[in-house]
Amino acid sequence: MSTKTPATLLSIPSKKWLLIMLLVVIAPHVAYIPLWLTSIALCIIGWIGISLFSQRPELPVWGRRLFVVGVIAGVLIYASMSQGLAGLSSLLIAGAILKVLELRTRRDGWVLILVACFIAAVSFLFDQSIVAATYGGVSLMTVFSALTMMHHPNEQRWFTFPLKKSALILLQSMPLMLILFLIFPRISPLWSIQYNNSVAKTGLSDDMEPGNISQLARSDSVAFRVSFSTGVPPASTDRYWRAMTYPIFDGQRWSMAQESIDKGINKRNSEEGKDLVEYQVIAEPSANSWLFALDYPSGVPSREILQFSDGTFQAGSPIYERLFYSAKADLSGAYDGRPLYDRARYLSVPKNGNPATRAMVAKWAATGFSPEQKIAALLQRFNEKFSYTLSPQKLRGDRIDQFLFTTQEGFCEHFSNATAFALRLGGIPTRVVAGYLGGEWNPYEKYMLVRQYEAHAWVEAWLDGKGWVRIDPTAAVAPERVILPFDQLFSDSPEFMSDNAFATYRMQQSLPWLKTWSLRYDALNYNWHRWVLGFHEEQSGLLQDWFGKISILKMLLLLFIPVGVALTVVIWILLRVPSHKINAVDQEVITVSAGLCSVAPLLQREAGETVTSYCQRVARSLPVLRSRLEDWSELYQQIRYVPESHQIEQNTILFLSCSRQLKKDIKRLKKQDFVRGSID
Amino acid sequence: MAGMAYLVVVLLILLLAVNYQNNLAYAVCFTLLSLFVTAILHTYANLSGLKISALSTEPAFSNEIAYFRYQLHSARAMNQLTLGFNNNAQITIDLKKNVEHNIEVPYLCSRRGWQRAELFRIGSLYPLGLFRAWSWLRFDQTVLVYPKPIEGGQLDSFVGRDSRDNMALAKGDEEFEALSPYYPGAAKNSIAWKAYAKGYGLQVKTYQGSASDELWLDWSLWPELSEEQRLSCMCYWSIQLSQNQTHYGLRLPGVTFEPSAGEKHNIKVLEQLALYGIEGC
Repeated sequence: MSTKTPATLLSIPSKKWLLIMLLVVIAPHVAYIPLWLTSIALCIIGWIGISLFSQRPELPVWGRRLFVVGVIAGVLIYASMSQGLAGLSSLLIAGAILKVLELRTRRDGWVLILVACFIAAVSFLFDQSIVAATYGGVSLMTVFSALTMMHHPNEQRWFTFPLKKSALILLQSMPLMLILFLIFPRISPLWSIQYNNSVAKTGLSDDMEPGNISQLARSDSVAFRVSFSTGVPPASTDRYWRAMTYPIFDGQRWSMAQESIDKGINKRNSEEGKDLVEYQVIAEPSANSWLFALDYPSGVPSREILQFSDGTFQAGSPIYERLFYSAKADLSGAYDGRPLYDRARYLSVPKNGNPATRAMVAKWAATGFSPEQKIAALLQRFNEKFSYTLSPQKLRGDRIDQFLFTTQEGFCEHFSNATAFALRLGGIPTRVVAGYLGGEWNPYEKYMLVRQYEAHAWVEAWLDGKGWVRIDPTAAVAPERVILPFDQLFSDSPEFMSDNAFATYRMQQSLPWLKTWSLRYDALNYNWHRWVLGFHEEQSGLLQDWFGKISILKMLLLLFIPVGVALTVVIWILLRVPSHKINAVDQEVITVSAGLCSVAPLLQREAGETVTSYCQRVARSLPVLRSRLEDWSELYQQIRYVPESHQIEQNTILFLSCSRQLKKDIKRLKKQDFVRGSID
Repeated sequence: MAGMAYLVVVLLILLLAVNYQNNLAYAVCFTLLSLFVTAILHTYANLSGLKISALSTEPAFSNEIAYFRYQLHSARAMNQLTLGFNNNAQITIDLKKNVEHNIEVPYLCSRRGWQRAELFRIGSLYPLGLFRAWSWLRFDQTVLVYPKPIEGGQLDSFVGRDSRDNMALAKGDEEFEALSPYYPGAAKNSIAWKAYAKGYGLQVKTYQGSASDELWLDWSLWPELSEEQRLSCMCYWSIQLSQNQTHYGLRLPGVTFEPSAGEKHNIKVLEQLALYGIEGC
């Protein structure tokens, strides 16, 4: 720049705005920064805010320095101890807060503004919900209000004026922003970052000991969402989502084994291809790598997803971001003819323990039951004598014996535990499967929502000639657990009701519209996740759908044409001169003058010519119109210069009709003129 | 500078968005970027369509501030326009739509004579301070700069009337000569109020001082001073004498003004002093 600008001091309203901006921008971070920093921030903003209204003694310089050093040291210690983003956001906030202490010039204001922009962006790393996004919009608006205020010291309307202005500018920037958002290529991360925020508790764990799942059964947070290519959900008895299998049993605990990656499954998939259900999953961050496969899994088209030989899917690394993938399932579960490897693993049981169960199984063998008959006998036993509850009695010692012969109550874990043990004793290769059962179908957006409380465990048994067969012992004791949604099933049981998470559910039961709204809200959330938060997954497909094959030329055209149009519209709005409202009477004069001008250019009314003298001039050249023009100009005079209100309306009507006649005359004249001209 | 820092922050946010694959951070980044572009248009529109016309100027003294007057008009409201000459104070103004605003742009005059309006700049940082829209303006406009009045030099014929109070008394010695029609700028105490009361209209009394009382601001009065100093002293005395309704004349090489009194005379004298020895006068 050619001239040096002297340090411009900030006006009081702009300082006020800067403080408001800081409060707004920092607010979403309060949950993530240490409490002492929050209180210091509030104290400083409050102090500076008060000193804007009344002169306060300033802190002595040494005191301020000591304070600054203290805060910096505290934040540095905190940032080095906390991992990831909480440290970053507290550093930024501490910097902004300390800057407030020396808020004098416009330059200081700029520093605050820029830091605030960054803080606003960082807040989206913690929370990406619609609410957070809306709030982010509001905080950007306050940032730009403060910036506007810094460059326009408007004292009177210090609150509304910059708000309006910044809202206007933001609104005008929206088209451009959307275009950039749509077509800016999403690059993969430049360096890898892991952060453990907003990871929901899952309903599953790496191993299973009866008792684990019961605690998790009550989280109503979302595990994943699924949409089906057909748009129709599978029947409720088919909604088994496998997450992992537990083949290893040590007498107490079922746990996962090292599974090999299955490569053959995709091939098989293309060979058969009958009765396959194709579905797309959006998995919520879980900090685990397992994923969800609809039973019976039949291949994963998504490349990044690993397929294991036990039919489970896993992501390459723990999931910290929403993950999208699609897969296929064969609901009929036809046996693909592959032999069972490592049969011993699926039969191994501890040598001792649970004698009663062993005796029962030995009796089956003595009777000569086939594997199917053994399964049926067990399930029948469950069906007759057992009850399903979320809060069973505690088991001690020979837990399976105790469960099978004494307490005879429990939930999915207990049943699958006992079933798998008994079947293994009976010589049937068996494994426990953990996953989810059920899902709520959202009819508005056609997807299924699976929540953490729908976590479930069941058993798979290997039957020669049939392969792995799903056996859900829980279905035998409580068939309604399979058919009814989990929430509906347990809405009456006290332990379920006592939980906070289900208070909303009970309210929904009594108020049906609330249920509808919550479904609609989740539908909105689904679209939000899919189209905004997961846009990098959708982008290339979307752009290809719209514009065909993508080339650099097309991308550039795509960028410059809409950007050009958007900017043209904005500049047109900005440069538009607000037009004067022209009185209807004056408008008539203009029209008549234009009409006469088209007859002969000389007859146009000149600038500053009064209507009366104009009419006289025209009458001189067009005597035909004299009488009408006289009436017309007389009426005009009456309306304009005789201040009698009741006459004016009447005169206006007369004037308008007279003017209509005049225009007709002019038109006729023009035609005659034209005819004459053509004869000549 | 602010704009560059802003772009750096935008870039940082972009890095954040890329690394965390966070589409909302992308959105913030693009919002800031689009705002950057929109701000260009806003700043441009804040200056585009402005009409400036030059108004007449009033003379000033050398080493003092002269005001060049302009009228600004715009069909749209414009905010925070900053105008000013290089190295001079800048003034800031908000324009309402379709209202004429008269402004005075200060200019520090360094030399006597005709001072042409230099290039001056009108600019605006509004609304976000990211950009400056500006334009250089040159008007064919001049202001007359009188010499700087400097007290000094003895006025020989003034000796004996060492105080200004005495000067007022001295006026009584002068003979009343005639009434002449009122002219703007005539001193209040020279108006013939009695004649006015009688219905003769505003008349100004003129006095015929005795020949010995007549004062001459003569070029040769202070041979010890340089030319400019002489002009400055003459300027000073001219102002002093005319304030006291004293008759005085001016004698410069080649120019002589007969003794007279009053504001008109003073201005004539000052103009002559301002332009003395300058080409084109």
